[in-house]
Amino acid sequence: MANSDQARPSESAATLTSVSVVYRRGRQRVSAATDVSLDIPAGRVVGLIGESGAGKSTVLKVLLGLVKPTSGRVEIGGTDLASVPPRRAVALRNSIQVVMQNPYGSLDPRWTVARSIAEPLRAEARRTGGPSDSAAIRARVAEMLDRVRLPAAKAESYPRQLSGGERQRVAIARALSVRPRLLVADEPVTALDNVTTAQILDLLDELHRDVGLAILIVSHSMSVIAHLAQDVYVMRHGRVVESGDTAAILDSPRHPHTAMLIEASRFLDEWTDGSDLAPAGAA
Amino acid sequence: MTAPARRPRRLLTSRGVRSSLFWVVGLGILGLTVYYHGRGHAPQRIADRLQGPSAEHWLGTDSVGRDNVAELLAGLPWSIEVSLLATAIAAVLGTLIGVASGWYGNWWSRALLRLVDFEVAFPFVVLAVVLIGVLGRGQLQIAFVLGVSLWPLVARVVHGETLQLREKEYVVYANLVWGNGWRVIREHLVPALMIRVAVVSAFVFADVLGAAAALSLLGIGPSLETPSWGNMLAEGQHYLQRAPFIAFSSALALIFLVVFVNLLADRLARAVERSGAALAGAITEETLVTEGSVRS
Amino acid sequence: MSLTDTPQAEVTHGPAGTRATSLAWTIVSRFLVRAAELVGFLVLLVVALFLLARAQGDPAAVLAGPEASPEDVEAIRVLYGLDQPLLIQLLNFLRHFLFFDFGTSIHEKVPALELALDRLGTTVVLCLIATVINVAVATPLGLYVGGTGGRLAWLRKVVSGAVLAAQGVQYYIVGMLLIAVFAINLRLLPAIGFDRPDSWVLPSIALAWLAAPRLTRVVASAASQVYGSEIVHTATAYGLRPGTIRTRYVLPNVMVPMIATAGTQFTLLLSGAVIVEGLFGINGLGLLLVVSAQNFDFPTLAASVTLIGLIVFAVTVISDLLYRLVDPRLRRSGA
Repeated sequence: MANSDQARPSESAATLTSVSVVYRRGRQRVSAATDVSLDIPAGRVVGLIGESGAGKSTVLKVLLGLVKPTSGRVEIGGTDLASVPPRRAVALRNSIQVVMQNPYGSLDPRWTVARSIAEPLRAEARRTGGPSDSAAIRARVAEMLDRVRLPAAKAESYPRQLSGGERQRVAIARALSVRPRLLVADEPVTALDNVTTAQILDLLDELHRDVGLAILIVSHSMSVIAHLAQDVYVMRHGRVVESGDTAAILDSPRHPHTAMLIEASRFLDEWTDGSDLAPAGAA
Repeated sequence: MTAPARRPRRLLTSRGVRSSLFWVVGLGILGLTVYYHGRGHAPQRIADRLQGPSAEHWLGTDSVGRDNVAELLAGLPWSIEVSLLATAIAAVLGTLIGVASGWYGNWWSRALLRLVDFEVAFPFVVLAVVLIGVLGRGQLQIAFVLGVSLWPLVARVVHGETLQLREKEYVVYANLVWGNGWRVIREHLVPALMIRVAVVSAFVFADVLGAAAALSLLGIGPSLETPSWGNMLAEGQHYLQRAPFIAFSSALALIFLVVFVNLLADRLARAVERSGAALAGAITEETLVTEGSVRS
Repeated sequence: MSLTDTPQAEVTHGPAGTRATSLAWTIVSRFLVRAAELVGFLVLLVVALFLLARAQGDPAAVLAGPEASPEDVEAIRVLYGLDQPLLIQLLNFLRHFLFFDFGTSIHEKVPALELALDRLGTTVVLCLIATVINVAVATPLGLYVGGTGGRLAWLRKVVSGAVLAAQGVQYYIVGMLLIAVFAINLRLLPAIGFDRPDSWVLPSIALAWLAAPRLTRVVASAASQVYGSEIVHTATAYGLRPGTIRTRYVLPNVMVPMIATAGTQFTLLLSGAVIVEGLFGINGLGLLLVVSAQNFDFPTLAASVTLIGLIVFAVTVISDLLYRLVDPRLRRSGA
């Protein structure tokens, strides 16, 4: 499905082409995703919206490699995952980082913030054969803390001393420490209060602009998508029912389900005080 | 009265565990074990056999005239050593297998778990009788047999914990980042499991103490050249009518030791619960019983 | 749904079945699973033992005894097929084993299976009586300890502490104590044997001691959870009498963990039975096991272990069923 009419500046961060995922559970077959095609151009923010069970998580799992698609093609950075040897596939996969929904479970409670942020760096060092406890890593951790607007003192704190929003910042810092080409944010603000939600979304937006980070933001709330995403894919029952430029879709949704989602967000979200949803800047 | 969550590092100094009496007694027991290790029986004097308590022999003498108190001290190391070794075997084996089966969770690990289920259910004494009959009655063999009988207890708990931990977001993330299951297990799971394993092991230790002594009553305890409380009990049973103090003193000693360890384990479990270091609820005797039968 | 969720079957593509057949299928499949567990375990055990035993030395020499001449040892070797290759021996043994053909007891010169079956009843009865005592004592005691209020609140703590202490007292010590007091001193009850009803008392109590303190604590813990729940608070506020509350709310809710625990404890009691039989001179399966192990009477040993395994199997299946019957949440298939 085509998104905007803009010419792509470079290869896409990630692309799914006609991906289907069918789970087997005993004698039952569950179609979690059917013929999903999704393209995330480099440096662009793409939203994925749908109700619970619509298939959003499945798409994420395919992207992250947690699940193998029953059919279809997965490309990361223009390279088809199926066509490369496993080690290269792992390296490719690691150019995609994730921030997860539950801030209260996404950090190891026994680890300090610094250690959590350093984890992907250490893993990367191990893969490339570099030193895993270097000053470089420590410096990078400090840098990331700064990037997500957390005071350096927090580095030695434990997750339980942090609020939900702060934990999400740490998760973002952790994800971005290895300079991924794509950040997948799985309902990153669903568990947060409204004020914190706005802060986190603004942070993501800022990071996207500063670094040229591609983001795939998954949510069930249209207002979240509208705040951040330039393009959006709407999913229902495992299929993409509509996709395209966010502003255009908000303005005149073609699929009834999309319209329903827009209405639902309008109804529920006070922080836009029920007025027009503010679409993301066309950048 | 709930205490605020404390850092895991302070677990060892939290109020319950820090109680000085426990430390004194515990260290005393360990000290005695080291001191009397390998010393063999107390000196015997046939002329003095089967006496009741007196000024000279506070708890009487046994069938060959050994002072019961001295014999108790002589027999302490065997119990402690065997139980420690057996508990260590059970803990290590149980953790390894439990975490592997919980993490990989495929068909063979499920089959393994079923087998483990059955082994937990199978009367451990029967197992012990058969295995010791084949392997011999040395300290190592008995410890091995006990450890092998009891590892499922630990494995069950570890398996359950691992299943829960596996679903945690930070574990999922770590798996994505490292790509290697065992790395994740090492970095995240094992530290998380350690505390729980320690608590289970404490309870297991208490059970092993009792079980090891019981073996002597069946004639599959250590040979009579090695002083042990179990052997003393067996002898005491023999002379129950003529010289009840043999049985009485060894029984008392064993009861004291087991109760002490049980109390210690209980305190440890409570301290863990209070400090919030445990993941999902406290592990108490109840959880052990419902998660897997505990033997004595 | 999130990354950490497992997929739920939202769309069913399989054939629909009736509820009755699925329930029957559950029972049957669990039964088969348990049977497979038993067989698997016993086979593994037998193989392991077989190998270990062979590693320890020459079984023919052991069987022949210390005074045998080399010709005697050789004769025994041939007689028991010990001259065959190891694998053949193992397969033969397994074959007999699976058909319950254990051969003749080396010691008693009667079929091993017969010998073991004779003793089976005694051990099972012993364990059953102990279970009855266990449940009969632990349930009311646990309900008391887990409860709240009352005029003698301190008494509850004392009793609770006593239960904890009781757990530290080994059951075989209790057995010895019982013998010392009731058999030797008071001459009220016999210390040996299992034939007369009054000889059942002491061993059963000793055996029950193995399980009762734990069961009490399980019941107490479950009871205290119920007592602390909102339902009970509401009921008390409405003026329901403590007795009614106990029977209507607390008791049903402690039944489930109690039965589950008591079920798993039965096999624990089998363990203890071996020791209790030794202590009280009871001619049960446990004692046979010990004796045959000491005499290296492998046929009898194998027969005893297998029968015990069957008891465990039966108990597991029964308590499985019982548990599902009592807990309505588990009645559907799964877990």
